[in-house]
Amino acid sequence: MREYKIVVLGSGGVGKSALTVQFVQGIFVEKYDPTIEDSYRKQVEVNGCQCMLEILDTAGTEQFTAMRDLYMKNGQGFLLVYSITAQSTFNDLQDLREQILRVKDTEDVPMILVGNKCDLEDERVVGKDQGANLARNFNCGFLETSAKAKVNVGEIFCDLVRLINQKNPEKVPKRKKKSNCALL
Amino acid sequence: MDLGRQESQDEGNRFWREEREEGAVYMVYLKRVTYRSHDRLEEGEKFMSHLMWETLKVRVIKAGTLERLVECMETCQGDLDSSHLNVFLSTYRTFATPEQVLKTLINRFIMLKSCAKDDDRKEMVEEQLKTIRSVISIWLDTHPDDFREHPDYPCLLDLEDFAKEHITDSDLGVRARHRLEKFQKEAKTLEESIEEMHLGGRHGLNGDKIILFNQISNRSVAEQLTFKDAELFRKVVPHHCLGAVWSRRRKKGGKNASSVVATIQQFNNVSLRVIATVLNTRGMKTSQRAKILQRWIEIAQELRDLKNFSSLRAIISGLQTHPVYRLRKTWAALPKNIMVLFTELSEIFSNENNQITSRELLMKEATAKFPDIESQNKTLQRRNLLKRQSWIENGIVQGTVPYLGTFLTDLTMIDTAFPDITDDNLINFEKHRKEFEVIAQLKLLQSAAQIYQIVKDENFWTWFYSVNVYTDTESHDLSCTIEPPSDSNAKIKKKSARSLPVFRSRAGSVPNRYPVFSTCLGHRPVKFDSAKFALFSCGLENRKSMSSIPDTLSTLAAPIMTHHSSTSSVVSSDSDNPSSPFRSSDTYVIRVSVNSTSDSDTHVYKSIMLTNTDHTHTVISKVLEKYCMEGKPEDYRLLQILEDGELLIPERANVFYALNNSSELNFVIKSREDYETSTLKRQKKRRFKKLSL
Repeated sequence: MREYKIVVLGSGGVGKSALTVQFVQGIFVEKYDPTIEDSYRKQVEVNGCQCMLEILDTAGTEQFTAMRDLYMKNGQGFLLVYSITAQSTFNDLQDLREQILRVKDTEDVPMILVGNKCDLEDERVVGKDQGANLARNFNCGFLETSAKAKVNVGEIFCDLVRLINQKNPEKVPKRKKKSNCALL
Repeated sequence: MDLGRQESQDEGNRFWREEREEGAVYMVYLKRVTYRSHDRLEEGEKFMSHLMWETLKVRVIKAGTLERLVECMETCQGDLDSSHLNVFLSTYRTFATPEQVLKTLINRFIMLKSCAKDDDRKEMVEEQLKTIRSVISIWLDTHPDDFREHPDYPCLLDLEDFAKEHITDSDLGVRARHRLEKFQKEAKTLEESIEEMHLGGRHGLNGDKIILFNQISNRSVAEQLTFKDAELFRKVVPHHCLGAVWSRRRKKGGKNASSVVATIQQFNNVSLRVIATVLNTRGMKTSQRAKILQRWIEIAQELRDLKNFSSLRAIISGLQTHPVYRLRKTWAALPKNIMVLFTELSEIFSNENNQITSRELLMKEATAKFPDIESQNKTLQRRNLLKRQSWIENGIVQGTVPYLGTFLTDLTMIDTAFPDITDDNLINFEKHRKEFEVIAQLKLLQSAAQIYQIVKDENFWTWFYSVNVYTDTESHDLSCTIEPPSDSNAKIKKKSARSLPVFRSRAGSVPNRYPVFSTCLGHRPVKFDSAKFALFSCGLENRKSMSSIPDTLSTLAAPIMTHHSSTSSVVSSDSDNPSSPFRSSDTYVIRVSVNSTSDSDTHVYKSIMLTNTDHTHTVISKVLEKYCMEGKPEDYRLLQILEDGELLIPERANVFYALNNSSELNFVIKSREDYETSTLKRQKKRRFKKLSL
């Protein structure tokens, strides 16, 4: 099974951890234990293929700034999360993205812009069009989510897997072709 | 009861049902208790001796109002439930203030006291009153800072009044008064010392001569960082780490978590100094800069010996920040064993599997006297053994400082996953019980951090704060002036390849490049994290993760690779690293299998690092050692497997130059006899062919 390393980034308080917990635990949140080996692994099916996702959530350690580069080096795909109720969390993403590109040393890194807390429509300060514009600017995917109301949570992870697949198609099918040729 | 109680391990507690009362939800467990008959049973109780075991009902509060949670500090017999009290005292600040809790306790005391006149319940009530007194007393002793409410100290004043009126037979009131006076005194000295610092701090800087980084020994750097880290860690207020305090600090009504902030600041300060000292070397030669890298790696090792995982991680993170990590030439100038050391130390903090490595290590060493250092590298192994001996001989006991971030993440996640308030609008105490599991570990480590005996060295700290640190952008720009960025990477590589002879001539003084290194720096983070010395212990599973390997084995290797992390991840994060990890300027990694019998289809091979000084016999001995085979190298032949046959490497050859490097570096060793018979056969075949023609 192909494994994907996904890093969830964003300022403190945007609800990163809520997205992660909702995604890995779903309805079984009561049994959740953050300290065990496979707390952040989840198997999903994307386009008919089974994928193992390992999610790195930096929640609680945003201020350990020197560690960010390593998170970024290790990640294959990134969820850049802001809260639609806090403009500053939206503005912070520009720097974060630049840092990713610098660390990865390429312009083409699979990432998805995530506007979280879309259940709090009353408190919204970042418009959906603002999010869409930034995503266009970033040349990445965009979705608004709500961990609380369980909106689009699975989608952001699966979309990201698709982006990673697009950038780096799996090698196995190629091999098959090759061996077929050899048989012929 | 005079019966010997023994809980049978295998039965344990079994969840039975949930019970609801006004203002509380309990979980009820059935607990099987086995009785052992006691020799000293009295005559009258003999009829009891047939009772082998019974099932007891155990109620644990799951959620409740503050009043109910306070009530639960008494068991149903009226005595103290210390485990509930422990959880409560460690976590209550997320749902109540000290004042509210004290008030609830006092109200309950007064209410119970009025019941004490009732004869039937007198005994029980007496017990309960005693428990409440112990609760207050334990609270005052174990969490004194809860009562540090400068400048008015309402809790201590309330407590004193309460004790004077209701608990005349104990010294509780006096203790409250003493505590109050102590706090007032401490607050005064603190104010004075802050004033002094303002006046004297600058003076100190001007007066003292600032020492240089290279004037401080590695050991002192490590000790001073540990001194600071241990001090800060001991001061961390455990409830500041709780999700409700730490991760919600920015929200409205967010609480102060200064003790956590101080620890993080120090962590960042260390990383920033690592980055600054490495980058502030523009005029220097690469080798001089490499010396600074080496120093930090050696300091990291000293921190490992001191079991200080906080600064250890700060240094490793600093070295792995992009501006430092991308300095390929500098890293390439490091001696091999230093590179091995760096790889091993950074593997401690691998994020794989929810940081299982560092978690397990911390649990193993938290309260151990000294660290249990392991290494794959022989030189390092020997050094560690010596160190260990000296620790034992000198009776050295080390404290422990953990990396706080792991606890902060775990507590943030618990805080996210479990609601504060249940659907019935009760305090979700089950959540706090989970939080307590993490807090209890933290407290255990805090006591371990007290063991260090290090004296502060002002000179070091003068240096530390005098270092000019850089912002992210500044670091990046500096790094790029030291080694220009990627578009010129290719040129650099070619250049260094051409300058190979220079390296070779100095081969004696410059140890061989460590090939994993190119893996590390070539943006191959996953490999770097997961595979422990992949190149040296290459088994089947690694074969899969290396892109340059023929595809024939992929199907065979596929089932093994699930955990050993993804080829894909390597490949994907690898877009900008055209060089193969197998080939660096003066080393090759070759794969060698052993031809046991006729079964030449064996897929098992070992990887051997080949340097430009290795002769055929050296290589064969290495292979024999890897396969744990006995025999002399002279009895074997080394052959390179080429597409169109095998190339015999002559006995006295330098393998590095002899091999055919336009082909895969796959080798086989065969015993002399096998080799000779196989060549004979081939010769015969050839003769046959010739004849038939």
